[in-house]
Formats: sequence, C-alpha cells, structure tokens
Amino acid sequence: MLRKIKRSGAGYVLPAVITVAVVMIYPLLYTLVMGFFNNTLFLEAPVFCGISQYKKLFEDKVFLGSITNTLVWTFGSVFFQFGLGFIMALILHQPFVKGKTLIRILLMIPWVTPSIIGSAVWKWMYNADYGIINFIFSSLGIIEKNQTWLSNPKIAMWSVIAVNTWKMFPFILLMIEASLQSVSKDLKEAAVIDGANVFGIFKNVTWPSIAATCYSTTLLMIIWTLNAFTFIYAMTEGGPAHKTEVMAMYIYKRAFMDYDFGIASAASAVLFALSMFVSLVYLYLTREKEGN
Amino acid sequence: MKKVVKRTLSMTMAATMALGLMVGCSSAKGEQKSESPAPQSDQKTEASGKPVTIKFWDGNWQEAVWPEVEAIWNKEHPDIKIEAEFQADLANDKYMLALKNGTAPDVLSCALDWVTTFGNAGLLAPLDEYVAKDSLDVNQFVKGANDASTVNGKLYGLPFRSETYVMFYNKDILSAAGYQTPPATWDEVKGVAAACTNGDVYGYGLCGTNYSNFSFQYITMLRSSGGDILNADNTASALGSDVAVQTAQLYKDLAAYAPASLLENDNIANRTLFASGKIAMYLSGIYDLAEIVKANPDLNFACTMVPTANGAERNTILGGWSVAVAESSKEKEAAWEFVKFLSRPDIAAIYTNTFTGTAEVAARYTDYPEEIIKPNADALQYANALPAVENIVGIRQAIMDNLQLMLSEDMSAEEASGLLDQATTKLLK
Repeated sequence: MLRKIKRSGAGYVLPAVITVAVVMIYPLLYTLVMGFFNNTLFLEAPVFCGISQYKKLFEDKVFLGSITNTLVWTFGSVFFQFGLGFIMALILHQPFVKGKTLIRILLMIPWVTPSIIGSAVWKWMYNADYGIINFIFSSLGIIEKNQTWLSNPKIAMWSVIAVNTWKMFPFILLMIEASLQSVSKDLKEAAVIDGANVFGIFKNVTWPSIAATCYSTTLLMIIWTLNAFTFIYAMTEGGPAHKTEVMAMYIYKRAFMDYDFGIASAASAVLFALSMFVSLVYLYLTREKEGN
Repeated sequence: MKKVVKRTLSMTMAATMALGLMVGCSSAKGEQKSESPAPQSDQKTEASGKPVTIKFWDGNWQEAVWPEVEAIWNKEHPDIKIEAEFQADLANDKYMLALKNGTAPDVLSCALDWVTTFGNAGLLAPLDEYVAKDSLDVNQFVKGANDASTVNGKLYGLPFRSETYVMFYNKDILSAAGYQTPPATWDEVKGVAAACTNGDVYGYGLCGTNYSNFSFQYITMLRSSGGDILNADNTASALGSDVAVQTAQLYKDLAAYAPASLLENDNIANRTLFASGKIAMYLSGIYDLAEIVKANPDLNFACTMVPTANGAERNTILGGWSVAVAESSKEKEAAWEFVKFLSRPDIAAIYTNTFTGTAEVAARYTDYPEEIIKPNADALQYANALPAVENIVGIRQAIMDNLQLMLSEDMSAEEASGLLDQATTKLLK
C-alpha cells in the first residue's frame, strides 16, 4: 500500500492535504452541528432544535431565491470568465502578436487590483446619473435613456457578473496561456504534415494538451465563485430587494445583522452540500475526458 | 490503479476546497475556539503600581483628531497608556466577533444601537458601579443616549457624540423654484421637490442602499409623521400601521424627484450630489457639514429641522456614539477612567464631529453660520433613541430589504409595509 502511495505521488501532497484538512475540520464540524442548534448572540448556550432550522430555511423565499442567485452568479461568472480568458489566451499565443509582455502586464491589472477598489470604481462607472457607461452607450445611440445598472432587478446581477468577469478572466488567461506554451511543436508539425487544418490541429493536438488545465481551472473558479461575495456586498449589498443576494451574502446577513448563528450555520451546510455536489458532478463529467 | 489514485486525489482536493468554503461560513463561536485571546503580556496591573496599557477601538473618521485628545490624556494620566486602533465604517461585525471571542479591546466606541445589542448580549461591562463610585451625574447626558445605552436597567456606555437628522437644503435651487423658506411639512416637501426637479437637478435626495442610512431616513420620516417602528413597550411591530404605510408611500412619492441612481445612493452619494448642486434637499446629520463645505465652499445652503406630517409632534432618531468597556477587559478600572475622560464635555467637544453627549456643539463648528448650526442644535431636543431591542440591526436591515421591493418592483406601499411588518415580527420572536 505504502509503495502504491509512493508511486502515485500521493505522499508528496498528503502532508499539505492533512494539515489543511485538520485546520478546517473543527470549524466544519462545528458549523454542521450548529445547524441543528438554536444559537443566537443573545442565548447563553445553544439549544438543540433538530431540523427545524433547515425547515425554516426552505420555507424562506429569500433563501430559496439566494440559491437561484448563487447558481446564476456562479455559472454566469465562470462562463464569461472562462470564455474571455480562453479566447484572449489563444490570441495572445499567436506568433504575430507583438509586445506580449506588455499586453500580459496590462491584462493582469484587474486581477491584481483589490476587489474593493475595483468595486468602487465600477460603481461610479455604472452610476445611473453620472456614470461613464451610460454616457458612452447614449453617445453611441445604444440606449435612449440612462440605465440603472445596479438597481434594475432584471440586470443588476448581470452587471455584477460583468465586474467579476473583468476581475478574474486574467487568471484563466494566465493558466491557459502557460498551458499553451507546453503544447509540443513536433506534434503540431506532424499534424500539418498529415494534412490537418487549423481546427484539426486544435482538436487533436492543442486541446488534449490543455484540457486538464482547463478542467482544473474551471473547477477552481466554480468553487471560488460559489463562496465569493465581495463585489455583491460592495456594489449592491444583495439588492435591489434580494435580487443579487447570493447564499454567502444571505449567511453573512443572518450571522452579522440578525446575529442568528444557528440559521447561518444551517445555510452554510446547504452551501457546502451545493458546492460539493457541483464539484463532484463536474469531476464526474470530466473524468473520462481527462483520462484520455 | 493509477487512474483510481488520481481520481481519489482529485476528489480529496475538491473536498478540501469545499471545506475551505465552509470554514469561511462558520459561526462566531466556531472562530472562538480557533483563535486565542489577544496577548496581554504588555499590560501590567494597576495593583503593581506600574503603567497600564489599554486598547481602544473607534471609527477611522476619528483618527485625525485623536492625537490632540491623546496628548491631553497622556498629560492627565501618565500611568495609563492608550493604544488606539481605528476601524472602517460599519465595523459592528468585527466588534461582535472580537467581543464574542474575548479578543476585544478594553474600550470600544460604539454606535448607540450597537451598545443596545452588545449590552443585551452581555458582551459589555455594566458601568453602574463605577458611576456610583465616582458620583458621576449621568443626567448631564442626552436622555436618548442614556436610554439606548441602558439595557434591563443597567448602563453600558457613556455618550461622547450625539446628533439627529435635519434637512439640508440648497437655498439657490429653492429660490429659483419660487421658495424662500424651506418646507415645514412632508406634503410641502413633495411640492417643493417637484418644483425643484429640473433637468439634471433633482428635488430630493433619498437613500436607496446602505441599511443604516436607508433605515434612518425611513424611521425619521415615520416618527415625524406620528408613527414608530415598534409599539410603546417594544413588544410588537408597528410597521404595518396606517402611518407606516403612509410613510412608505411618502418614500415612494419622493423617489419620483430623486436621481435615477436612487437605489445605488447612500448618504455619502447624496452628500456628494448635494455638494455639487444636483439635489435640492436631503436628510442628514451635522457630520456632513465639513465635507460639503470642503467639496464646494461656494454652495449656498442651510439646514432646517425635519418636516412633520399629520400634525404630529416632531420626533426623530437620536444618533450618536458611546464609549463602552468590554466585559472581557482585564483592566476595567483603567478602561473606566478612559470612558469618563472621552465623554467629558470639554474632551468630547474636541473629539466629536457633531455634538457632545451633553448636546454641546463640536469645537470644530465654532465659525459656522447660525442658520446651519442652530437647527441642528435645536433638533436634538426632539431626538429619541431607537428601541433597545436585541435585533434592532436586523430590523433596520429588513426595512431596507422590503422597501427596496417597493422602489424597484413597483410594489404598493401597503404590500411592502405588510412584508416589512411580517419580517419585523419574526425578528422580535
């Protein structure tokens, strides 16, 4: 068994995995247990209440809405982040592109800009009365009257997703571009000799070489985005009227506005289950392709 | 086999990452177990006769004036050193965690409703014994501040700052619309706001975000119309009452004369718009004064007391900040000395950016015109504390969440007030 672990390389990562798991295991179990206890700031000790808090949660329209919002926020963000990052990486990898180092540095600016500063800048850009986005769109004749980007229930979530895309696509770009540089030139030349066109080379040579990076980066982005709420907190506070309230924001409000740690713990457990489910489904769907 | 190991590792990594997500969501008590108390090694007990160091937290807007106050303190109390740390706005979550974990500083500057909440939770030290020992006259302080700081008969904080809302108005815009005096009733406000709305100038600046700003605006309107958020003994919601519905409708009516960015605007955004001459009137506190003058020294503006409705007696919210001692403090005697010092009228006058806990205007406003300062000073007599109930912060959040529905989805004032009433009732249970 030990030999197998040694051969697989698991021994190298095991200490790190164990350390991280141990540091997290206590709060995790505590949170899961607290989901079954009535536990507010004002109670001397938590009181066991069975599954009543989960019942309350699933009767709460705001919580149910936050699940939908979380899925839209996560998959919307990851879709655009990956799409933009992937396309930009492919373009940047082309030999005809000059000044790659400068372009890379410029493209990294959103990623290295602190989220809270990015939020403040975007909030003013989105401002319905004096924002530059309305100014540009109306100057180009795209919109007739100023839009309320962050307070229109129909578009507020997409406005915040756009900011999250701006922030994180450079990370995807960086990962995929690094992966593209490792694609074998010999294989590409062989494919050309075999008569493959651009799409054939991409499908049979490039994609198999970068697929693993794409899968793991996408998984990372899904997990990070499920848990992220900085932009939402700073730009909309979950509003208007809960329309951008994702689960992480809901949990924050229950814990730090209502001081109800029991409900917040139960909601955290649901978020945990959701993220595990999404991660496992994703891993299942990609496992064979990764194997190939 | 290699494939199985690889897959297992992938699963493990995914699970580990998901665990990370959970840890971020764990409750305050969860963190309590994983963090150790702040090191106290540099503190020496008073009994030993050696210098004592106490820690103090306040908002970062106080940082600029702190050195002046600290210099006076050091002169008067060479044996007690203060380590001050200044937090970002609305840091009540950080305060709560620190108090719960036992890592809080000895002395905290708290907004009045935080004193209510933390006092209710037993996280602050009662001050009654110290007050009695030093024969301190707490009646010198504004009544509303004492009310907000008193929970179940125990006093948890002494105020060094008090203020209430007034209406700021742009004299030039009102004059151009044919009004030489500010409106005195909410009906008049609607008329003046309509007349002042022209092009990119708006009649009224409402808050549409930031639960603290939003709820203060709504509750001020509600109280000055004869209503309140809870019944007289604070046991039931009054947010479904006729006056509450009427106030929600007033909010909605005024939204027609507010900038399109209404739901994105907090107090600071309104102040910026007012300073740049884009809105004619808005409700705020005297703390906006210096920023408005700094942004636009030529702005021709004045203040007036909050309008009323339904013939009701004027009633607004007493806002303010108190200094409190953490229950976990190991240097309560020294902390008490600092609490007394900071709430002392001559010190508070330097430290506060509004009025002192004894309702004296801050030293920094000595040179401001009377037409601005006097309404702010006069308004204090009508200001009362928010109800000293556990979930006051949650109720204020519910006000914003539900009235946003009315403003963003064209929901009726009745329906939004009904939902708000239900949410408040739930929070009171």
